[in-house]
Amino acid sequence: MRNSSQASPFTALITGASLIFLFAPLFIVILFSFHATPSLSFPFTGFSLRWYRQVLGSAEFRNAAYNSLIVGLASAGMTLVLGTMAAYGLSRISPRWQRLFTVLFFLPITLPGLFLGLALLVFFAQLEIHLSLATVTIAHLIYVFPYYLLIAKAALDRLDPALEETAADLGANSWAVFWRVTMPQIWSVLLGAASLAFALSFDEFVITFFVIGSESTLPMFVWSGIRRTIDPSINTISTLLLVVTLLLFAVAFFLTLRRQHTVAEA
Amino acid sequence: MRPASADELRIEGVSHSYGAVEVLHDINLSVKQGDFITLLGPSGCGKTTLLRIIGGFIRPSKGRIFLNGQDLTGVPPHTRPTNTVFQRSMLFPHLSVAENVAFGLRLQKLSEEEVRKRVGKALALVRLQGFEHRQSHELSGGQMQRIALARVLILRPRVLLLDEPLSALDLAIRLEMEEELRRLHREVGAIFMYVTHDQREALALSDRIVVLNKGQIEQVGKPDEIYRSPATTFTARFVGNANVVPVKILSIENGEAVVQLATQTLKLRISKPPLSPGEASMVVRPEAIRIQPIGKVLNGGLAGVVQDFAYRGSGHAYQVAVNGIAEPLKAEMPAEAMQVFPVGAQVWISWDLHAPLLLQPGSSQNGQ
Repeated sequence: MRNSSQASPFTALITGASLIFLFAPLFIVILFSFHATPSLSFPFTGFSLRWYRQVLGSAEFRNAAYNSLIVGLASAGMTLVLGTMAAYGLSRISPRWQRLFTVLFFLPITLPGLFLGLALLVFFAQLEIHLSLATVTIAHLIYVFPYYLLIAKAALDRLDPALEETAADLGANSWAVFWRVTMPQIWSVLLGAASLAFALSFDEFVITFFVIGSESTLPMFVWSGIRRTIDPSINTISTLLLVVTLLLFAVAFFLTLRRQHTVAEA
Repeated sequence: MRPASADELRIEGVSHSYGAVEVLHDINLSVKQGDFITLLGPSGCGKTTLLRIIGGFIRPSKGRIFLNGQDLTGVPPHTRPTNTVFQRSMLFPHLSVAENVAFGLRLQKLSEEEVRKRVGKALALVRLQGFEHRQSHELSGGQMQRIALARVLILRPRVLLLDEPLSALDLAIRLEMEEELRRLHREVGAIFMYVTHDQREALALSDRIVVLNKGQIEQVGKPDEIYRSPATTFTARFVGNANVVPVKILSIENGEAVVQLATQTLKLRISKPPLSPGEASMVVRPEAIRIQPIGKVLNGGLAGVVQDFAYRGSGHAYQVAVNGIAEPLKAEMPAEAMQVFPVGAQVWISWDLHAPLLLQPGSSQNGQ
């Protein structure tokens, strides 16, 4: 009975084809990052780590990676503080204001990256702010903030407000309630959300392109590399980016899930 | 106003509205030191709102709360000398049992040694020694409420507020916890203010009961006063599930009222004047009603038909329909009663002359 609806050959075919289209390009990129020759097409002629040595040895690459790290940490860190404050505030105001501010906070998600990048560029130019990693950080903050807020607010909404009332009854002022009752229950979700924010910032390209000026980040470095020469060093950088991002998502996933587990137990 | 005596909780003219709905109307009450007082009423009567006003979670629309003459009305919960135990125990899920109990003390920056000593004492008080390192999700419902009690008692509150703390527990645990609460109250000596809709709990626990209905106090009194001489028909029905039968007082003489009930004329002894001829309500407790076979006609009584019968372990509960009375009369016979009457049986019901209580609107005595 169940089989008839589950495994028709047609569904299997669609699923298989989708998975291939999703993962085959990934696989090929990773595979050729280990290619022994500069060729980027089949036949594959042998494994080597030469492109990894070349990329990691390059001062330009290390500069771009360092910049990405700084921008990612700065925007994720600022998001952690501002986003937590915003989520906490949102959970504490009247439903009418909550709706208004939620729409305002989440609007950047709906804007095309091109529009956001251009708008920020014009904005910075108007204020005569020199383009630098600082402007990139501000741009990334705007970009990752809604994602962070979404997760942080969901975590706060899951908390029982009666627990905070209980803490107040036992003598805790609002500061003590926040640090002794609210934070211990949601910190792992917040850290997970911040890792996600870092990952989003780490490989953001479109908005960065508009507001970066003469500096470089990893996605910018890849892009300018493709314009110069096409060899497996690009694949190598992409693979490194993929690994970092996957790791961060895994951390984010683990931290948010761990929290749900303890809630379910309690 | 009168001067405040030592450790007295005084509620003066408290009213509260949510929007246009008034949930409390002009509540006045004073509670002596060490009293166990219960706010009893059906859901929506305002009892929990009143408790939350005393705990500082709600600011009343009108009126003031005093403790020993000190005005608490604007004082936030975290600086009030009151503590609350809620219906759900609300243990902090991220803390161990010991840290839950120590929560309030930790905020007072006491030494580790002092905290540990007092946590141990508090756990001993609720008879859960050795539970320090358990997690809250490892506890049973009754144990959770004991920990919630230890967590507030460790702070030595002057007023302990209990918001239906037993209503989520099984009957057996509930009875055990009632005993526990009476013992704790004797040992701690604080004012316990207890909210419940369970009249049995209220009668078993309280020094005094405040019956609340629709945001107003119906009656204040000791449990036996509330039970034996309810001031209003509401209290009579709510506490002890009494029969309230509309009657007409024909005349009053020598402490006896001649009353018309359905088609009969009865004589009832009256203990609480003033009554005057006219419409009235006759209150009779189910356990005061006797049921006998129809053949044995006694002086005074009514013929009826058994409508419902329920076995209650300790007794037999009947509902008997009587001609001329809208609601069937509830009657309870002891389990050792010789005869059980099936549904549909014709029976004769009667009561002692002094058992019924007559109430008239406007003439109700106030149990203050």
